Amino acid sequence: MSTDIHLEHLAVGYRPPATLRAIDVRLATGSLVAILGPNGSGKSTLVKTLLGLLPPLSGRIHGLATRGIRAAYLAQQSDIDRSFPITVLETVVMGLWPRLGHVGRVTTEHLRQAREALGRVGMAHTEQRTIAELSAGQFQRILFARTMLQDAALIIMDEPFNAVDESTVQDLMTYIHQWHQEGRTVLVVLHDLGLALEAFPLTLLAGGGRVRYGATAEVLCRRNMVDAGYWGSSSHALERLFNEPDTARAV
Amino acid sequence: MLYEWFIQPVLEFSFLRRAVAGTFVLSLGAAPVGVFLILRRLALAGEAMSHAAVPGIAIAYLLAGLSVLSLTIGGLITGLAVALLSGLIARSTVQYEDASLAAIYLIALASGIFILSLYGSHIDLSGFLFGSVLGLDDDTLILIGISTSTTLVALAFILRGLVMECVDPQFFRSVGGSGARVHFVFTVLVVLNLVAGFKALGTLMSVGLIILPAASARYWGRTITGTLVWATAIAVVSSYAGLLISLHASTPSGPSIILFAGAVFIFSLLFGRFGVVTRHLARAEPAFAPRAASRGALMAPKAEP
Repeated sequence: MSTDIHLEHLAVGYRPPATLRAIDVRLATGSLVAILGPNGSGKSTLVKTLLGLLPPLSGRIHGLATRGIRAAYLAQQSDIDRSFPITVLETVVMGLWPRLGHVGRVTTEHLRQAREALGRVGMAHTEQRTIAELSAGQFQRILFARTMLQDAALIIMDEPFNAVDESTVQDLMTYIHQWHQEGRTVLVVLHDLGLALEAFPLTLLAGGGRVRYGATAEVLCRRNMVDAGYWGSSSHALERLFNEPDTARAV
Repeated sequence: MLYEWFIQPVLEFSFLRRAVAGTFVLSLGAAPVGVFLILRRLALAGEAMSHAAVPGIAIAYLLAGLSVLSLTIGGLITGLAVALLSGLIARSTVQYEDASLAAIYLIALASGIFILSLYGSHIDLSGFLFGSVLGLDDDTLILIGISTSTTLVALAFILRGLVMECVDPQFFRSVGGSGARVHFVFTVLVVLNLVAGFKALGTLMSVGLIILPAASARYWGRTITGTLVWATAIAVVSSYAGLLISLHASTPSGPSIILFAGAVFIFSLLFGRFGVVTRHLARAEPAFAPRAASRGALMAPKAEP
């Protein structure tokens, strides 16, 4: 039985007209996908629809709710209240919610798993610190540990590399590659086109009301980028990306 | 001397024993609710909800007299109605949530006082507004007991969801949690504690025992458990100290309790573990371990506790 996720004639948005429409994409199990697009192109809206936080305006998603697949989701850091007085260990244990619910007891085995996940992201020494005391990069590692603890077949991350320094990005990418190798489906909303080309085999490009999906190098051609509305907003980055400064300007 | 000042009055006067029992039990429920009210940035909403319950209590009083049960039900109904209504107005019109809360609670407070004075000029309005903690009857003590028991049991059930809903609401929803349900239960608890405190502290100051200890505890507690313990301890101490001060100095008891809690707040603000003075001294001390580099400070402007 296939556990692919099939988006059929999907239209997403908070209200009509749809931000993205006519989405027909089959995400094969175990895919590693970068979700790219200019600001406001509907990346986060699409992600929220996939998570079931937002109902589709039309169309269907096969293979998620029907098979009880629950995604492990990492929200943007700006959506998280870092001033809340909670320890690192408590934050990681949140990843066990599907197993614990409101009143399930946290056992020593649960704590062992949480500590192991913290160790894997190199943050074991911080377990009793509060999340307010961490840097943005350290905090993101904590959230990756929480994601590991969720042990989900589908992992969706919304801009996990925002405000994170280069060496941390490298580390976090190794965890993402591990999940990929373990056969999990991983979708990551990104801004860094270079990183997508370098590390993500597949790309879902959102913009101009529709999505293009396929091998990263093919999807990120100049024509698609222009259609998606990248031009103007970050043409400088594009020029560097394609190394064709003169012709790029002419388009 | 100490015994005479601190212990003897309570042993001597039964009204004081009732007041101590009432405010202690009230503190056990009100303080934890206050901690979450503050962490959810709803301190002002709590304030508004307390005034919002006034017309319900006034109408219940006119219909059923001074029955604790009917006053409680009346207060609960209008308090909850205002909380839900202001949320609805904020979501479905151009009004901001705080503005719609302010508008509704003003209407509610004014209509409550209006109804009371229209039909019952003999009512002790100052008792209504500022409470009479030295005159707690059996029914009121029972109400406080029920309110606190309900609060603690319900909080035990929703605590985990409440924390997750505060820290990372999107994550909570993504794992199948219902933020709306948690929020509703919590709102009911807020109104319940407000109403339970009305007789003791009055409709204007009942919210004081909820907000002030919790606000002070933010300067002491590092974790959520610590903050809850600090808030409860501060509420209990403030109640006892306020009652004794009112007795020895012949000051009004409700305001004495709230003023003492206010003094604790100012002390905590300055000298608490995360207080202004304490942190200033800690920074001046070079041996103090340096904080983690503040990379991405722009992304997390509230990162510092």
